[in-house]
Amino acid sequence: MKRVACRFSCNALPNKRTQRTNATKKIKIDSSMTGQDATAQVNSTPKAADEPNQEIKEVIEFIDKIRTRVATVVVGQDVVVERLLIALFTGGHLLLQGVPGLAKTLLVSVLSKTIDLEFARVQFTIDLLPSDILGSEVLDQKTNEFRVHKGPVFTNLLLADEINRAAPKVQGALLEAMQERKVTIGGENFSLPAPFLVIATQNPVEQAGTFELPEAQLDRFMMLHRLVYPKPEEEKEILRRNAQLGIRVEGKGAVAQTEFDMLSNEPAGSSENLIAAMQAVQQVYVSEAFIEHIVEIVNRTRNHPLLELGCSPRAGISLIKASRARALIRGRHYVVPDDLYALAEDVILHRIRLNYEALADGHTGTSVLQSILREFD
Amino acid sequence: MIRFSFILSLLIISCASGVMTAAPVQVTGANENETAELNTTVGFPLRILQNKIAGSHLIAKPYTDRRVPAMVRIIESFPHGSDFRYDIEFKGFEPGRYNVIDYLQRADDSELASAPLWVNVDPILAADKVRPIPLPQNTSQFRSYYVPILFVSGIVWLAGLLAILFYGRGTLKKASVVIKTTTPAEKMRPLIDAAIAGNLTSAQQAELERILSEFWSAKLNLGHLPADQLRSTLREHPEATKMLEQIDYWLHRPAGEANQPVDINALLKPYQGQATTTASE
Repeated sequence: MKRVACRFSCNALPNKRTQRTNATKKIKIDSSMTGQDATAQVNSTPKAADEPNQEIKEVIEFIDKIRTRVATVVVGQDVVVERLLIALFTGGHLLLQGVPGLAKTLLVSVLSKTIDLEFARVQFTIDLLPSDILGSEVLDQKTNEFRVHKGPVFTNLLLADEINRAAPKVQGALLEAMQERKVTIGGENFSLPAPFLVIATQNPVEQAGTFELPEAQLDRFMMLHRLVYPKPEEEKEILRRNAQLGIRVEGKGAVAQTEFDMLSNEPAGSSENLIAAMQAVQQVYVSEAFIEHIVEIVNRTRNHPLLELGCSPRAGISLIKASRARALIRGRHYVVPDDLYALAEDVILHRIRLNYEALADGHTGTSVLQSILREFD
Repeated sequence: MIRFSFILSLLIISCASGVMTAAPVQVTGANENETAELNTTVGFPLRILQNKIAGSHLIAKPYTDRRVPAMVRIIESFPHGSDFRYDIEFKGFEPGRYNVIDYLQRADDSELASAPLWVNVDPILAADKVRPIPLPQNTSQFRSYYVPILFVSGIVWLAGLLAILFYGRGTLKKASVVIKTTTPAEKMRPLIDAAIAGNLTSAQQAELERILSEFWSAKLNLGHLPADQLRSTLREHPEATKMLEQIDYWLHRPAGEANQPVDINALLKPYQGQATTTASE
């Protein structure tokens, strides 16, 4: 299993040289799974069982615990929870786009408490400064020396609420920290804690007074998930639960309880569980055929007549990482094209840009992406 | 220094413009008793100011002929006892000696018996240059073809516009179609043949997998579904899911995990027949 992890280390796709030098049995078998060899292989006696190994089983149990804990507070939003877990297990950053009131903050809060991670939230506004997020040097009047005051970015889970409301220099400062996972304050470098995950939100409406993230910065986000309203049944359950929240007595007064008060402080797992899950993601098997699927789709975005901007290589890397995490969450130790197609919209759509002709003809990014994913129109 | 230069240049310009302006010659104080003749040149206005003419009010005679040799205009009149003083402008178009009084009449149509007021209009041109020099004939061929050239240019412009509107957009649409003109059967057949023969590369394996999904999409009439929903729908279909599972074992699982070996021949044979039938149709 570790040999496969080495194969995909440094977020790089395997090349021919790597395949040749990695003298692992699995890779040898996989690279020989073409044509005649494939026929010979499938006709030979099977060696291993279908079931995943014990480590992966434990990780799947851990994921189930997280899902159960989240479900006690958040109704529905299974896909968002899955995307959050994917981002957490792969070290990617997630951008959530949705109208207010879809429990974005609640989801991130409950996730951080469930895995016992540090959590910080920054509400982005027009007058926010980079030092408000990263930190700054302050003069200690007792010692007459400057000391570093670390900002909220020094956490495991950072919720950047309404990221498009801040000025580009603030967005740039955060995105740089996301990319390099270190911050420079007063000429001194500080590494960010591990894991470090930024979950940013943006509102698709009310664009006045906002600074839209440019494509280059959107590319830093592994996924952009568009939240949708809950289904009617889910909404009924939300209302039922909300009606039973009651009040909380504080001193001589009382306040109405919210869903945040329902969060249990007892974690469902430890950082060791998280590390195990991250390792397990690295062990998920990626076949040559799957890589071919990704390369084909990425290339189609670059050559499509309706697209001005296609996917960067980072998109392909993100697709593989996210697909491996999704496979693990679904209890598989190998990826299948279903993972790719399920994640394509979240990984690709914010990385492509329609050209003028496409916009004039009324095409949308989603429709063009679907035509790319489908082999025939 | 700069300001001085600026003011000086303004003065020079204003003086030059004063010289250049064709200001009329003004003669003041002429009256009906004076016999001195006034002089001007062809086309150059002569103003006779404060000229007293006895009798009732005078007006300029209306012109009945466009080719009159001179023109008289009363600029303003002033009462002068029982008489009037006049500011008169005279302009001669042909050289000669003119009596300004001939171009005036009483406003009350009574007889005008006043002493003549002679004006000599001298020519500036030489005697044999009484007519303007004719303009040279334009010998350019372009002038004669101007209208046809405009007409042809208009047609070319219109044709270009129509070509952009219709042919250009059509080409764009064709470009997107060109990629996908072949049918699933046409693309599937050689890949299946190669797979059964064991000559499939990993890229072709991936392509075959996509085409097989599309084959089932067409068979189950699921073309309207997004790619991810198509896959999940096929996973729920009793026959399609078997095919997908077999392909998972063949292409996506780590080698040697299949409880039952995947027989590629058996897996792809039905599709080979379908591809041949559909292609021949």
